[in-house]
Amino acid sequence: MKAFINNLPFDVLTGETILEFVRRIEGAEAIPTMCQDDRLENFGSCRVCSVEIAREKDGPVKIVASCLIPHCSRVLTYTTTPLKSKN
Amino acid sequence: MLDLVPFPSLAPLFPISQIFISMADHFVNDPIKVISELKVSKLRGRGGAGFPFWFKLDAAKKEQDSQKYIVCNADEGDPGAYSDMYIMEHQPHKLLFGMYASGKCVGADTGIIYIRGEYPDSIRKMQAAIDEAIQQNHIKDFRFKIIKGQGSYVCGEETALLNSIEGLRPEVRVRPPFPAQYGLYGKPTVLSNVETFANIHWILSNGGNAYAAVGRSPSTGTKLVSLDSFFVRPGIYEIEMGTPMSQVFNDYGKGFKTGLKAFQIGGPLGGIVPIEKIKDLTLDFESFSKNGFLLGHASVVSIPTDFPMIKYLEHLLKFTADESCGKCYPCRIGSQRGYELVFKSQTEDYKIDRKLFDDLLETLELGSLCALGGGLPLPLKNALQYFEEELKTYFR
Repeated sequence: MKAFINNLPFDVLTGETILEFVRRIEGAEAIPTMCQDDRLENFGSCRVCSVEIAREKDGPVKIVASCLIPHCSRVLTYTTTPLKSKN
Repeated sequence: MLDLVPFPSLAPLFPISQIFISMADHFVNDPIKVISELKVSKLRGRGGAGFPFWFKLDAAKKEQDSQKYIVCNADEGDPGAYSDMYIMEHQPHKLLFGMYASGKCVGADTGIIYIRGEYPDSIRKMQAAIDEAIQQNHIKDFRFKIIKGQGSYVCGEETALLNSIEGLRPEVRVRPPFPAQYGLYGKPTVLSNVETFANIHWILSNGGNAYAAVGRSPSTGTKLVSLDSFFVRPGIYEIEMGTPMSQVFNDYGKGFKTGLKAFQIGGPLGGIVPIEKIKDLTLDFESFSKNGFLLGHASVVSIPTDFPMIKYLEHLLKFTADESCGKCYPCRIGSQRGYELVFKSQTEDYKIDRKLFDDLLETLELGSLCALGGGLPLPLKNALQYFEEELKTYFR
């Protein structure tokens, strides 16, 4: 199963959230978080870990809290867009 | 479609047997036909989002689960909207039939009506209608339950409503999974508004094509519109989709009692429409969204000429701050900070930084978990756009 981070393909592990996936590939600093803690269940209240996802390249993007969204194949995650950097 | 009787009405309820007997047998055992008729009719959710109703039925029907639920959202919290109350108190059997037919279609055995606690009459009348239907043996292998709402405005959000029924804190759930897959108690659930269910009877008795011929595709059928007391003839009107708004206001509302400068249409998260834009709008989802507004629940709240717009903005922000479920930061903190900014600009020698305010709105719009925080920026942006001249003294 492959998924994309900023248009580059990587393997996805089953049951991984987008946050775990991106952190595994790019390191813990890749997505900032506030309310998330590995000892707790993810709750998704602070929205600091928001990323933009799309189903296809240049398709419509949606902003989601990455800690809550289970990763599925062929999802494109963008962590470096202007909107993301602004927040 | 809904055989509108004058409101308030003392006319007897529509005879129950006509609602149930004539059709139930034809349709309750033929789910494919129900879905195809609803698909052809292009019936869309009347709660505000305008989501195609057949799609929800289809998704819930496909789920392999022995327990499914039908939930009716009768937590009508939009100030100025009384259409759900009207249907529940005057034509409750239409709602029951819609839920019953949907339940039989997807294989659900329980229908739950979540009515807001501020509508005690609706609760009584719905219960009487349920008792009557059971007594006359119209409902087979299906049970209805009324839940009296005990929460805030956000309980009208579908996933918060499910939590509220379960006895949990009415906090919004994350989607996906959608209620059609994981709804009430984790079971497939079809959730829609009172008016949506009430339309099903007409569609099934007259056919989906007849329904689609009414209105302006893809907004088919009619919509109940609530006009407030600033109209010469306030009340609830059932109006064909696609009717020009000026006709709605002049022919049905008979004009205004006093000078008005704007309307908030579609509840507290609907757009603020300046009076001069009314001529460009027609009563359908597309026309409103194309012009940067929202049809929503089609309630109309008038804003008089002498009412300061900044006070209105303050009220909207305060309302959201009070009603927010508090789960996500953008809505919980953002609405409170927005309120503080607007309040301070009126009481102290302080001007709001426009860029800061725009950033706040952007965060609310994009970051919020549900439509409460996500929808709040729309009326604020409308006001800032159309009433810039009036509001500019408060901004820098």
